[in-house]
Amino acid sequence: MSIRKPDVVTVLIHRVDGGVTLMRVVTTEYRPTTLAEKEAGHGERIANWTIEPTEEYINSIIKKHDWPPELQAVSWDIVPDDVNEGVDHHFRNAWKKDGKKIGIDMVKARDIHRENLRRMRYGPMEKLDVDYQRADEVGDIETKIKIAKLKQELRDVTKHPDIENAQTPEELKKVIPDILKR
Amino acid sequence: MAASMISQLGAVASVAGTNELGLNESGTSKKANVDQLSTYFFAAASDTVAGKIEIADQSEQESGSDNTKAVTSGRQHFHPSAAKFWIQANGTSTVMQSSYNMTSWAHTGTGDADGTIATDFSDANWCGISSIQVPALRMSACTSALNSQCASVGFNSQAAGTFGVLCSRNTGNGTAVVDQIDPDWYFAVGYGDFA
Repeated sequence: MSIRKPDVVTVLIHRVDGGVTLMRVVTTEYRPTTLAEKEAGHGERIANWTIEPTEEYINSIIKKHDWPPELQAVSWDIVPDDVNEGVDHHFRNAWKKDGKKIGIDMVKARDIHRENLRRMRYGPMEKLDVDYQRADEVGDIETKIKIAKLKQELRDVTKHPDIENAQTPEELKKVIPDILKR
Repeated sequence: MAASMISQLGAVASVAGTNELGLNESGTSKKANVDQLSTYFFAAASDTVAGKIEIADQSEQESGSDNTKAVTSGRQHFHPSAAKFWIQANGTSTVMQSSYNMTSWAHTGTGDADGTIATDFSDANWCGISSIQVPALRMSACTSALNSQCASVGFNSQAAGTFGVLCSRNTGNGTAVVDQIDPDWYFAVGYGDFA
């Protein structure tokens, strides 16, 4: 373990925008012990300072952050340090407060997934644009129609019904229309 | 200022005061107190002479201009060249792996983290350095291939006691932001004057 690893309490903040902020609040900062302290049996490290994580103190830390309006805290809870372990990180910006746990807002997750699909289609769309121009230069109408159909298919990837049908992050991640797998 | 030479001490017939010692200079009895003796035996230290030296206080450390006073381990951090805070935090788990002079680390969204400092800077004008560890993305490839992706990080807010960092994935020789990503590790350091 790092000698300088602080002791913390983990605070889960429920925000105005419905999202969550995960905040580690330091309760003890450590420093390495001097040789004399080591000989006196203080081990490898010793507290530099310690503070009680009172409600007042945590509120002061939240206030100090001075977050923009949408990230302001509505409420907060002290939660286990591993509260985010096992929570799907792919949809981090869709995290919501679920009691003292972290849940996934599927409406936001679907929007994130649509944005990912838009990024995925950017490359193929660029290639099709070039192919279309080349077909246009030689008057190849058949190829142009074929390419136009593929481009429309790419435009429609965000409308794929499986996106709305997906009820879990795992199901949603699997929704990759065939045209993006080529 | 105590006399630094025995010859400068006044001659006496006997040592009369308390905490005084008698000295003999060429057959003349003289008296000296502890201050006078320490001045005589322990001259001020200089670049070439070993001797006694005063300890620099906080303002002298912050000024960083005095060559006659000594730095102690408990005050060296006041010098402008010393980092006033630093942190190594995991990008995904948000664990504070190692830190100095920090009170909190908050993950507000993908590739977006904020910190609060324990002892604040005197104002918002301080030098911040941020970095990341992202082995999955070939950072160096950013300059050699147009469509290769790389990650970059920078401060997006800075106040006397807080700061924020953003980490993004870029493409097109680093000219376009693809999206924000969580790095494996965030690193942040700040230099300036304490409040």
